[in-house]
Parts: sequence; structure tokens; C-alpha cells
Amino acid sequence: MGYQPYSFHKNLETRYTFISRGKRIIEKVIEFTPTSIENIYNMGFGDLLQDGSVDDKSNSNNGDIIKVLATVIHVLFEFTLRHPHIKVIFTGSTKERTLLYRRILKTNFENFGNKFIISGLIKTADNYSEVIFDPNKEVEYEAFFIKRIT
Amino acid sequence: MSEVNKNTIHRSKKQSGLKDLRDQKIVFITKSEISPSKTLFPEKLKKINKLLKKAELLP
Repeated sequence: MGYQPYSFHKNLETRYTFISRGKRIIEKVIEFTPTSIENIYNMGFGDLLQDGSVDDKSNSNNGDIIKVLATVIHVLFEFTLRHPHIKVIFTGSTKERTLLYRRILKTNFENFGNKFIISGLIKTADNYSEVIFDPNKEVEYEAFFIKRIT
Repeated sequence: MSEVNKNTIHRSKKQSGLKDLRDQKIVFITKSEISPSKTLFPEKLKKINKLLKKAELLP
């Protein structure tokens, strides 16, 4: 993604924040949390509210979505560079947002594909299966995985 | 001091050391840097763990 990101801060080893400066000033937070499976970390992303909680469902509609997503991607690059053994999983809070993530992966596949192994989780008859992400296939993914090629 | 007394002192020091250890608050260091309960995204993590539980992952 060639867009200029916002500068971000690493508050903790697994937590990053940045300020979205669109129509309003909104503090954003990205957090990587270990899941129940070793070396798979969930990436959470949302608006940091004044009471310290996070809203990852609302659409901020701040007019800077491209710059915000470019920042999230840069943070993901930074985190996986520091922890190349970690596989990051992420999904949208809504179906539409998961579709947006698929579009971003598809559009930027040329940039990501040589640095990362990208896969997705698809629903099967009674379970879920991880499959290699194919940008040319219209598949409905439940979540995405990204891991540095080491 | 007799040999017997020396041993007694040595043993009581050991026992006192054990007591000190018992009084300490034990902190377990785990591999994870942030425990799941402290995440800012508990709902999302719950959803992801649910998916992963039922998922067949690539090797």
C-alpha cells in the first residue's frame, strides 16, 4: 500500500496507537493478543474511547479511511518484523468489514504476497478450514491469517 | 559449639527459608506478553478462539 500512513506509537510490546486526523480527532488502537493456539495472535483494531474502552464496531466516517488502513498495515508490518514466528489472525467486526479486508488483501496482493503467507478461514460443512488466500477467487472468508515468510 | 548444635542451627535456617518462601507472593511468568483477560478486544478474541477451536489449520 503506497499511501502515507499516520505516525504511530508502540505503547506496549503488543499495543500501538495513532491519531486519526480527519473531520475529527480520533485516537485509534491496534492490539495483538495471544489466542488459544500458540503463536497465533489476534489483531484487534478500534477507536480508543475516553473511558479507556474500545469501540471496534462503529464506523467513524472520519474521511481518512485510506490513511487509517495504511497505518494499520504498517503496524502489521512492524509487528511481524519484530515477531516473525507469530501468525496474525484478523477478522472484521461485521461482515462488510471482513469483505473490506478481503478487498484490501486482493488489491495489495502483489506487495504482500512476496513477504507474507496469506491464508483465510472458510466455512465448511460442519467446521472451518484454513486455505491459502487466492486473490482471484470470490470466496467468503471468516477471517484472515498473515505470517512473515522467514 | 558442638556438631549437633551446628546441625540444628543449619536445619532451622533452612526451615525459616522455606517459611519465607511460603510467605512470598508467587508470580508465574508465562510466555504470553498480554493475558487474554487484559485485552482491549475481549469479544473479538472470544469470537476468534471459537473459530480456531473448530478450525482445521494448515501445517
